[in-house]
Amino acid sequence: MINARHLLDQALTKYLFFTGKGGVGKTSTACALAVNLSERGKSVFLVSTDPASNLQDVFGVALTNQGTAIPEYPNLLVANFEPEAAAAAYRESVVGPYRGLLPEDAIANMEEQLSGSCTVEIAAFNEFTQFLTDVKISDQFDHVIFDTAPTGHTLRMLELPAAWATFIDNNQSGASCLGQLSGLGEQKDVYQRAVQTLCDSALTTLVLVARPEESPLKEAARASKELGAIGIEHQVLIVNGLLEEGHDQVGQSFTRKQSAALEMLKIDPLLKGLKTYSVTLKPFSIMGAKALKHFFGEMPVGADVHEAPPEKAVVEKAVVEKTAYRDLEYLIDALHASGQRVIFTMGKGGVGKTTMATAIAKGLNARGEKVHLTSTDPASNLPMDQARSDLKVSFIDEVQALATYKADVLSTGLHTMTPDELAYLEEDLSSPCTQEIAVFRAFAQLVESATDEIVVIDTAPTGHTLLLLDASLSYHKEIERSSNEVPNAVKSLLPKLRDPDHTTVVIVTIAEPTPVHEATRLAEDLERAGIQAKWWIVNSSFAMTQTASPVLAAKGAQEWPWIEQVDARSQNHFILVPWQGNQTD
Amino acid sequence: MDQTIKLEIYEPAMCCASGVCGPSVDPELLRISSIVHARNHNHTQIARYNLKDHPMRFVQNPLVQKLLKEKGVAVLPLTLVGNTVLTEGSYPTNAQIEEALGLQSGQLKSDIQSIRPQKPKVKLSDLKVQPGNLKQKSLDQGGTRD
Repeated sequence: MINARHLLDQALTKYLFFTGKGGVGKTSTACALAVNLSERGKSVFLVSTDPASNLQDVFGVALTNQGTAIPEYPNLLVANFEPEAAAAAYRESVVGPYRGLLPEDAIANMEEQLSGSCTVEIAAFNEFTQFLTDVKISDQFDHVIFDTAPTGHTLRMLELPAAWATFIDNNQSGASCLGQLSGLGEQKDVYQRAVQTLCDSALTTLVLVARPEESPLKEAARASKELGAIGIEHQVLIVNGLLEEGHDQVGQSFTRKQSAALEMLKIDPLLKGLKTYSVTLKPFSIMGAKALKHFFGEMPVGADVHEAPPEKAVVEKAVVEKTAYRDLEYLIDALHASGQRVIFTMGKGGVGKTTMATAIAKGLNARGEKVHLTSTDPASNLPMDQARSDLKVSFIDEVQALATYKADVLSTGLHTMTPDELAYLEEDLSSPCTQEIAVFRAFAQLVESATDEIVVIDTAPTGHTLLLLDASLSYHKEIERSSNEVPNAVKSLLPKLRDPDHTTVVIVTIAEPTPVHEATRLAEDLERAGIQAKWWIVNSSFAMTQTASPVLAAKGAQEWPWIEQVDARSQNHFILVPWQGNQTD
Repeated sequence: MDQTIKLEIYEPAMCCASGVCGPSVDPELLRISSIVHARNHNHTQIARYNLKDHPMRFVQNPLVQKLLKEKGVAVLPLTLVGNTVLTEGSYPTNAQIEEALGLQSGQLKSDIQSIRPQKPKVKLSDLKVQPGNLKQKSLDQGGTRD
């Protein structure tokens, strides 16, 4: 791995897209790159989809989806748009005119179908396309940097002829999630130009960002493969947050864990072949001009030789009284007392859902309950060897669940569909929604068969998926009449999920900006579907480790605003779990 | 209404035409999708309007708007032949469609055959699916309590 500061001296492509799991540091890295390049005299346009609140703190100016100049950087323009807001605007533009003209349940039906992550993805893609194909921008700027990238699913879908057929007004194909693109005019041409630019190695670089941790590295490998297959071949990898010195036991445990994860770079066939850069973990928060300039760890251009790096965040709560915050045992007691029968741990990948689900299952079992722990994580993380008659452990193989579901669907359609339609159906079947549904079906079957056990599962469908399932059940009477036992299991599970006496959802997050933001969105989405997430777990807290390692202690100090946010959001129903070296995700 | 359109289908808003985002795929949805595609191949006779993508149609047709107001979205899918309601809350059968369009019995099936190539693109055997996707591990025989 080369230090990422060397990126600044290279001839970089005009367009740079950053991709990676939520929370790895795409925005920080993209912003730092933009700032440092502009200091070197390059004209840079930075396009961010990070929630506006964060980016305003980073740059200290109000931002819009048009370019805004940043006072300290004459060569830099920054645009910020929120795909969720864009999706909401699109949704309102479709639905708004019909309020009062159509009955309320019709309006609700329309709104829900426009509320999935696909709608948000398309809204984001819409914006990317504008920036990618605008000649004025490409003439004016040396670099256009995006702190996110379109997903493989979105790009593949847009390649399918059937996807575009709906815009021909002969009503052949029915619904499509691409309705938003109709606003672009000559959609197909613009899209094709955008994709051509994306796949041109001389024009576009895909920057994969990861942490030195297993989960983000796996995601980087997956994205590399998926986007590479579509034709985006110019790729580099940035490993962000490397800790060089451990200092104390916690620190050394941390560096050991990082080294172990980095072994993947030598083994994984895809990652091995990528030019890889590293960025060290900073003791300061990446906010403001100074922090961005020092992100790559070298003296910035024109800086005073005596200029000190940014101050560490003020440590207001230097010493954490362990008893001041509730722990896992408290939560398990509360869950035990509540008498709930189904417990989900929910959160974005890598926050520790499986570990927490396992701990909860074991804890309830220790308190005398019969428990059935179910996971979608590969078996190696489950305590299979610790199973006993009153603590069952099951594994739902996501890949197999999806394959079963696909086979189910395709066998129905195989004899009646054309290749075009089958292709579109197959892509629909590769969407994240379908994966969720496949797992949910498998899970519903399991719950159906669990008689007197508490079921604990380490994943949950989104609120949107649940509402789709709901809608589907009411509209497709065939399913009601169906003798297929799977839909019946789903049907009986849905009301149970909404009963707070029966089911509880525990949201797992870590005390960092993007994870808390993502967890908040998940909670809101669930609330839309009528499910309350009562408890939150802030996992992997460095503040709770009381480490003396300076960088990690600073990292811990930065957690407090986020812990406070979780406190407020959960109405004080949260617990803190310290970072542990032996915790796998 | 278009001169050649004889049958109109008004459907609830859906995320995708295939409806795969439901607890299981609605074979009715697939049946209708392929019938419409096959029949319209030569001359457009069937129109499909989706509440999400073509809301205007629901408002512009007085009969549809009236039924929606009275019965809510439960009335969808709603099919009309001119100003006559063919079905409410369900899709028409092949026989009903053939009658509405003035076709011979079995015509729809041969429509589908005529545009389908000899070999389907995907075979089920390609999917390599194993029955059952839950691996349950429980030690019923004498686990020790810690």
